[in-house]
Amino acid sequence: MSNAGSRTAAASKAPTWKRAPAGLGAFRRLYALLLRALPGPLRRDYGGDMLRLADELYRDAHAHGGPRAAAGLAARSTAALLSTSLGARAQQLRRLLTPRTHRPHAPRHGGNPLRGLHHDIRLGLRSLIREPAYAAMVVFTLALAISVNSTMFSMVRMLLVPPVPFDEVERLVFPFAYNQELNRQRAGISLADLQDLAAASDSLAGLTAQRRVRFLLAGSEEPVRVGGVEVTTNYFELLGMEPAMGRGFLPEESAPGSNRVLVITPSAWQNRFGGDPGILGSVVMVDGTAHTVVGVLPEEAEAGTFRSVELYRPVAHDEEALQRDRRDLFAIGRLAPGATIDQARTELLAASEQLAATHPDTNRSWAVGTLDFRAAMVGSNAAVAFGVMSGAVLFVLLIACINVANLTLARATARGREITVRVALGARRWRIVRQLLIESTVLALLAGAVGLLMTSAIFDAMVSLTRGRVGMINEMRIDTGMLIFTLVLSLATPILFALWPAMRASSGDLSTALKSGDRGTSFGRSERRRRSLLVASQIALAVTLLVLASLTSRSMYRLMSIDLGFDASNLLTFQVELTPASDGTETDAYEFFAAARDQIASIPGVGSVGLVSHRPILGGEPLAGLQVAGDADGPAGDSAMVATVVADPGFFDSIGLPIVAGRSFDSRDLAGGPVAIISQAAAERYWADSEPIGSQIRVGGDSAEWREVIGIVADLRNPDANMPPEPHAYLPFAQRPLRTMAFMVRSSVPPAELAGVARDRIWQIDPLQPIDDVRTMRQIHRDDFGGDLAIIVLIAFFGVVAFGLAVAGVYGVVSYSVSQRRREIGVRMAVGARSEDVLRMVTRQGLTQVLVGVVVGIALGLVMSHSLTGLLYGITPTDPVTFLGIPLVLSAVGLLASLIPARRAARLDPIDTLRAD
Amino acid sequence: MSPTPDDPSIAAQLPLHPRDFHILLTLLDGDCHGYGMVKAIERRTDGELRLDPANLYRALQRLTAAGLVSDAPAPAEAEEDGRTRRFHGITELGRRAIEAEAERMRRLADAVQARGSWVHTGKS
Repeated sequence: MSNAGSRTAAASKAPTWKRAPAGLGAFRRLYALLLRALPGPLRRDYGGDMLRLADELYRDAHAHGGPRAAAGLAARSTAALLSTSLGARAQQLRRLLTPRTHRPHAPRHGGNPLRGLHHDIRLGLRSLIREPAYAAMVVFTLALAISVNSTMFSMVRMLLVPPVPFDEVERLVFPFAYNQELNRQRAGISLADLQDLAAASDSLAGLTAQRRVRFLLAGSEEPVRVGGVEVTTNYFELLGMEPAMGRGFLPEESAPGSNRVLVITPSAWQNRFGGDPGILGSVVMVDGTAHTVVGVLPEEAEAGTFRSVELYRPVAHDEEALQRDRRDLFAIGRLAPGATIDQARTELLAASEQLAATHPDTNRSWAVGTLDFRAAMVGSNAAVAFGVMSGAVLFVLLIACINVANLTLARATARGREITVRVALGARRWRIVRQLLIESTVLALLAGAVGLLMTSAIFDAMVSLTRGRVGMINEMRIDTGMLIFTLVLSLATPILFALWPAMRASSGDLSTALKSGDRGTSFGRSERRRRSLLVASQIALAVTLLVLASLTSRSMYRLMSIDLGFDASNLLTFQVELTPASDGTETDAYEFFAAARDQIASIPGVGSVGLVSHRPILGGEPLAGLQVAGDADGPAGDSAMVATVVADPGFFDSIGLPIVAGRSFDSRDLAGGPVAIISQAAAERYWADSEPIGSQIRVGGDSAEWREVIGIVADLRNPDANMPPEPHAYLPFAQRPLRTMAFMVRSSVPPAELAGVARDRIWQIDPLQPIDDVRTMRQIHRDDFGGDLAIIVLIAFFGVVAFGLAVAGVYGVVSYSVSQRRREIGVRMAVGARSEDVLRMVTRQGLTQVLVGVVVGIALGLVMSHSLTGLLYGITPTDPVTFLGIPLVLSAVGLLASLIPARRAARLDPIDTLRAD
Repeated sequence: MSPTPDDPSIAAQLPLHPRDFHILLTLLDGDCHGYGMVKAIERRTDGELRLDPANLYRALQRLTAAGLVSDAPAPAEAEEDGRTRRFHGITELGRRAIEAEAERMRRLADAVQARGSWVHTGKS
C-alpha cells in the first residue's frame, strides 16, 4: 500500500464549482439516468464517482474548449457509458455461461453464443461514429417517437391505476344527482338525500361524502387559507385511509358544535405545525373557532388529486346542511361484497325517485345516477381522447420505425460491398445480421435515453401549461415503470426497423445486385415498390393523425376565443372572506367592503372596482326560484330558477356588462326599497309579453321579500359553451352585504403589481383579513380549460411530429431512389429525354406515393374523427377546412420533398453518370 | 530483486492493458482521484489517451478486485463543498505488476532492436 510520494491531486487542481456551464444539467441528468444500466456492484461502488468525474470533465471541457468541446465530451462519455454497461452485462452473461475453470481475462473466444459480442458492440459503435449523420437521424427520430409513447404510457397508466389514496378503488362507486328539466347533468348530493340513499341501498357497504372547502387557519403570523375537505364521519373508515397517528372521526362528531375536530395531512403537520410530536389534542383556530387535532394521516393519503388538501373536518349535520336542495356533496359509495355497480345504480335510482315523490318541493325531477371510479375521475370526453391519443402515438412510433427502416435499408445497401466482402471471407449470415442488429440496438438505446429527457421536458411543459391545477398531470414523473417501458420500446424498435433491412442486406440477392452494379433493374424495381409502399403508409398515418390534431385544436381554439360577454383582459379578481376578530366581534361586512373598495379605487391606474358574490366562469351561484308578482300561474315551480348573484354597481362597470334597460344600482338602494336587476335571458324567459322594469319579483321562496326590477343587464356567457346563457338575478350589495365577496378590478397596472398593492390597502383597513384566490379573469378562463388544453396541445404536438417524420420520409425515399437511378436517368437522357421529362418522371413517382397515402389517410381520418364528436365544439367531425386543408398541405409538402431530388436528377450530366460505374 | 514477467504471482496479470498500465503508472506518483488520473494520463500521452468516467472506473474496479489498486484515504484538503473525493493508491502487487510489465515490454523492444533494423510496419 502506498502512502508515500507527492499527492498527484495537488498538482492537478479540479475545476472550480462556481457556475454551471450551459448543458451541464441536461448532461448530468442523462448520465445519471444511464448509470442505472450498469450492473449493480459497479454502479453501487463507482456510480457516484463516475457522475462526479463526468461533471468535472464537462466543466473542464467547457472552460477550455467551449460548448463544442463540452458537447463532444458529453457524447463520448455517454457512448462510453452505454458500451461499458453493455460490455459489463455481456461479461456477466458470459460468466454465467462459461465454466468456472476459464480465466477471467481469457481471450475472447469462449465457444458460446455470445462469442465476440463485446467486439461486435465496439465494432458497431465505431461504424456509427463514422456515420454521425445517420446515427443522429435515427436517434432523433426514434427519441421523438419513444418520448411521445412514454408520455402517453404514463397518462394511460394514471387512468388505469390512478394515484388516489383509497383502498380497492374498483369497488368504489360515485352517485351523483341530475335533473334533465333543469339541464343539470352532474350535481352533488345533499346530506339529507345521502342519508336516505344510504339507508335504502343494500348493495352498498357504505356511503360517504366529501365537500372541498377552504379553511382559514389562524396562526401566530398572518392568517392563511388552506385547502380542506369536509367529510361525513365514516369517510376514512369506508375508504381505507386509516390515520397514521391518532384516530378518524367518531359518528357523534357530526352533531353541530361537536364537529370542531380535525384530521390533518402529514404535510400540514410538517409545514403548519413544524412536525410537533404533541400535535394530537392540540387546539388550532380554524375559521375563527377552536378545533382539536385528533389524527394525522399517513403519507399515502396525499397522492393525486388530494395534494392540495391539508385539513379534514366532519360535515356538521345542522339545519342548513340538511336542506335537501343543498346539493354540494361529492358522494362515494363502496359496493357490498358480491354486489355489482348495476345493482347499486338501480337501487339508488329507485330511491331517488322515491325521494322525488316524498319531497316534491326540493327533489322534483331530480334523480341519482352512479358512475364507476374511472368515469367519475376522468369523464367520458377525456376517455375518448385518451383512446384516440393512444392510437395516435402508436402511429407516430410506426412512422418513425418506417422512416428508420428506410434509412437503415439505404445504409445497408450502401454498405453492401463491405457486407459482401465479409460474406465472401466466410462470415456467417447470422454474424452479419447480429452485427447490424447490435448497431441498431445501440442506436435505439441511445434514442431511449434521449427520449426520456424529452419526456421529462414534455411533463414540465404540461405542468406549466395547466399551471399545476390538473392533479393527474402533476403526478406524472419518470419512475421505474416508465424506465422499463422505455427500455422495452428501445429494445423492440430495432426488431421493427432493423431486422428486415439486416436480413435483406445479408441475403444473397443483395450481393448479386451489387455485383451487377445498377444494371439489374428488376431488383431495383421491386425494391422501389416496397419503399413506395412504406412511404404511402407513412403519409396515410400522418394524414390521419393531423386530421385528428386539427379537429381538436381548432375546436379548442374556438372554445378559448368565444366571446365571454365581457373583456377578460386586465381584470384582476380576488376574494375576501371576512373573519371574525379574535374577540368574536364581527366586522360589519358593508362597511368593510365599501371601505376596501374605495381604497382600491384610489390606487393610481385603477379604472373601476366592483364587488360580486360569485365571479363569472367559476360558477357556484345559488339557484333560486323566481316569482313575478301578478303572474299567478306564471313560471312558478322548479323551472323558474335563476342564478342569484349579489353585486354592486361597480361590478357591471368593471366587467363591462352594459345595462340595456332601466338603471344600474346606485346610492338610492342603500336607503330605498328592495330592488333587483335581471339579465336579458331572464327577461326573455319570464316576461314574454310584459314589461320587466317596474314589476315586483321574489327570489328564493315565499319568505323572501318583494323586489322591484330596476334594470336589465346584458347576459354573461354560459361557461359551458354549448349551453345558452343562464338567467341571472342581481341583488344590490348595499341591501344584501355578504361576508364573502370577490373584488373585480379593472386597471392599467400589471396584475401582479396591482395584487400586492391591493393586499396592502386591505390590510390597512383590517390586517386580519386574508385575500384569496388572486387571478385575472383571463387566467380563470384559461384555467377552466386547463386539462383539455394540455391534451389538445399534446395531440397537436403528436401531429406535428408525425408530419415532420412523414415529410422527412418522402424526401429521404425519393432522393435515395434518385441516387439509385442515376444510371437509368443518365441512359434516358443520353437517348434524348429532356431534363423536364426527368423532372416530371421523378416527381410523379414521389407524388403518386403521397397521393395514395393522402387518400387512405383521409378515409382513416373520417372513420376516427367520429369518435371525437363529444370533444368538438363549433365544428363537425367532417370539418371541411380540416379535410381539405390537411391533404392539400401534405400534398404540397410532399411535392416539394420530391421536387428537390427531382431537380437534382434533372441536372445530371448523362456523361458523368454513365462513366461513374 | 526486481520482479520479472516470469514471477508466477504476477504472471497472471500480464500483459497489462495500456489503459491499466497508465493508471498504475499515474498512481506510482502517489494516491490520486479520478479527475487527477484522467488529466495526468491525458498530459502524459499528449491527449492520445482520454479516459472517460465509465471506462476509468470499470478499470479501477477490475484492478482493485485483482489487488493491484486499493482505496486510499483522502487528504484533508481534498474536501470541497463537503464532498470528499475518492482516492486510489497502488498496492505492492501493483508496483510489482507494472515493473514486470515494463520488463516484459523492454524484452520485446530489445528483441526488435537485436534484429538491427526497423521492422516494416506499413499497410500491405
